[in-house]
Amino acid sequence: MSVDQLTEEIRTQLVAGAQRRMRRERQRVWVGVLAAGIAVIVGVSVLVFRPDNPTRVDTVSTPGSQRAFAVCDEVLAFDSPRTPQTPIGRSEWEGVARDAAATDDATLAELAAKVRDAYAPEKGSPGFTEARIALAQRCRDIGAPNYNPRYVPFVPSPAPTVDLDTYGEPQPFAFTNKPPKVTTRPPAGFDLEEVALGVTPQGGYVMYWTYDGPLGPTTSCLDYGAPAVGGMQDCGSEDIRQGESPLPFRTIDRATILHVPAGTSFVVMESAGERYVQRPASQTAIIVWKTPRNQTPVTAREYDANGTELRCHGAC
Amino acid sequence: MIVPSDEDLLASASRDVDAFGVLYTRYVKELLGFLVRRTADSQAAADLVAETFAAAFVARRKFHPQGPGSARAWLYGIARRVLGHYLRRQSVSDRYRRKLGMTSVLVESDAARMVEEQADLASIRDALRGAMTTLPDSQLDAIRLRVIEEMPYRDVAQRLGCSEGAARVRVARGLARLAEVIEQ
Repeated sequence: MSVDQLTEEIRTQLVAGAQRRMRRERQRVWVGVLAAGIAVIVGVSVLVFRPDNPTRVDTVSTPGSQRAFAVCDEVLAFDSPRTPQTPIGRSEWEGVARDAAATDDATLAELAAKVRDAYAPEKGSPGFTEARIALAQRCRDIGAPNYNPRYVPFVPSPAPTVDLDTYGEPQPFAFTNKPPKVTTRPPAGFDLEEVALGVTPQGGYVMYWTYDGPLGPTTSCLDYGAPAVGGMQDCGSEDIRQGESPLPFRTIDRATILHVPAGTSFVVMESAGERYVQRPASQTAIIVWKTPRNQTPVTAREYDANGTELRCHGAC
Repeated sequence: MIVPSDEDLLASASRDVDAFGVLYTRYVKELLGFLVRRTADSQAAADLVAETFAAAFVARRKFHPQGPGSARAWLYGIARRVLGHYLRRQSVSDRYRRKLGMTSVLVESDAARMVEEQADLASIRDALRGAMTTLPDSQLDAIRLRVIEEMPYRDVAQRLGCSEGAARVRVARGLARLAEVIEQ
């Protein structure tokens, strides 16, 4: 068999299948016309012979239908890693709006149409981002599986054998199953795996998850500062979990975040008279300061379970 | 003689199967090469080509021409989506082929060899081999355990003596590097 024979065999099957489908499509059109005719006749009859107490029927959209989920996934596919990147243009958004209109979810259809109408790259697409956020929120609300990952606790660091109180004021990292109110971009993607969530009483918050992208598993991480600030950063590709060497820690105004290797038992951070200690969770420590840093140097020290200093970062 | 553009052919395909057949003939070998370079598997590439065209036919009314080249981009977009599914699931979806009543075409060994020759797979294999030598041992081991030996991440992490998250990231980084080589 040559390559030509191979492609010809596929062509033969494709054309035969396409002809069959086209015939079915034509039949469907005729059946549709017939059904519409019958519906008109029935409708007219009902109007003519209307009973005294007609029953009012409210149409309620059925949230969470498979078709609606498919539309949500269609949008999600635009953001998923592709190789190489393909630009998403007007026709894609028109396709989404059309598919959404074909679902039984009127809200989804309306939001998809808003996104399509807002897409105008020549004018800077005003309102486009807001429209997309609203569409994604709708997808979450109706329970689209790929927008609603499951949550699991963080993995705690090795337990210290020393009294942490002697190292500073503890800022415990608690495990939670609810994102904080400041969340503006929860995990979204295909084949989402379980999501770890951690929060400190002071408002430091980390979310860490992986999903299967076309190039293999991809890790993402979001850090939030204190709720008053609402800052958010993407741990991104420089996540400590990609290697074992610690990264320089980062500050987001009120919070300082440090990614540590698996062997680190606890972290002590101090700056401008404040001194805090924390056991990392999923190799992440997040300390929230009482006052904003404003360029104030921060010193962070990592310790093993016995209190032996492993590494120092910042102003050491 | 006026040669119809790809966009015209796709627009005509709503009513005319032959127009779609012409489009198929124009792009089948190019797409076959595109897919075999990314899968290194002639059988999978042939199935992906069939699935791509079947999906394109089913969705032909969704295509709205946006100038020259838009039909080709649309077709490649579908191919990438079908390929993405294959890479995630390690199996070729037959969703659209079933809609058209198509079956898998068996790629015999001589055809497979010719497809690979046309796609210049040998040079890609060499490039990949070269790229693998540049990967750190930690990533190479992670890829070997996960991709070749198909171990769960938990076991990969245990074997490598790192956390499960670190194992995942090592695999992802290594594969991303290899993907760059294929793209070049």
